[in-house]
Amino acid sequence: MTNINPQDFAQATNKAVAEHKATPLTMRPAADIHENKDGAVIYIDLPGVSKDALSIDVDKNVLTIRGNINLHTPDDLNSQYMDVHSGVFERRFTLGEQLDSENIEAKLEQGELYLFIPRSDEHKPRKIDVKVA
Amino acid sequence: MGSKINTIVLIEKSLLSVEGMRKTSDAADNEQSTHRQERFEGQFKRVVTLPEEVDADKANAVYQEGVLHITMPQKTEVKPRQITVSVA
Repeated sequence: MTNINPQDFAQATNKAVAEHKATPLTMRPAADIHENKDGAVIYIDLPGVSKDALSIDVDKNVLTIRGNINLHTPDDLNSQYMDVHSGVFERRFTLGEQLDSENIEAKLEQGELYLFIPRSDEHKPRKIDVKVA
Repeated sequence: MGSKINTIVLIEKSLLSVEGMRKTSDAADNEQSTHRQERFEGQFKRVVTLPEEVDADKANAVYQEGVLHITMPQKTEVKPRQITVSVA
């Protein structure tokens, strides 16, 4: 039987924990997606995210939302329990070709992001008047 | 825009409870179809037992960027005090 030195074991564990903490875990925030005749509406829950810590970009038809969650806890706070975490998040959406990715509207209010992606003009439902001859 | 959240923070003896209701917006809009609904909607409640050394009378709650921060100080009698030794 091999004897494990408890001190070595504790050291190895601490090292593993530290390394795990060093690689930030990317969080995936919850989103709702709605569609209406004008376009698509996306809501994303981003509690603890300020406007400056948020980036929204579109590359071809991929919309990427990423940023940092900052809970503004005092630096000297010793956590006893944590359910809510600071850290990085990312969420990607592939936009349909009928959407106009050039004209995305974004609003951030109380930890909630609203995105509106309008439908391209040629894909908007049109009403055709029927003329009676 | 946005969802509506009603929150009640209650401290009763050593129990801190946070409860409320969240309604995500637009859910009942007939003009639109919903493709995905991941965000929480409905009633919520969370109860935490406070340690004895907390001064719940001086609790403070702030809702900021969608995060509820509840802070309360330690009771003054449990705070470590340094006593200066005077030489007689």
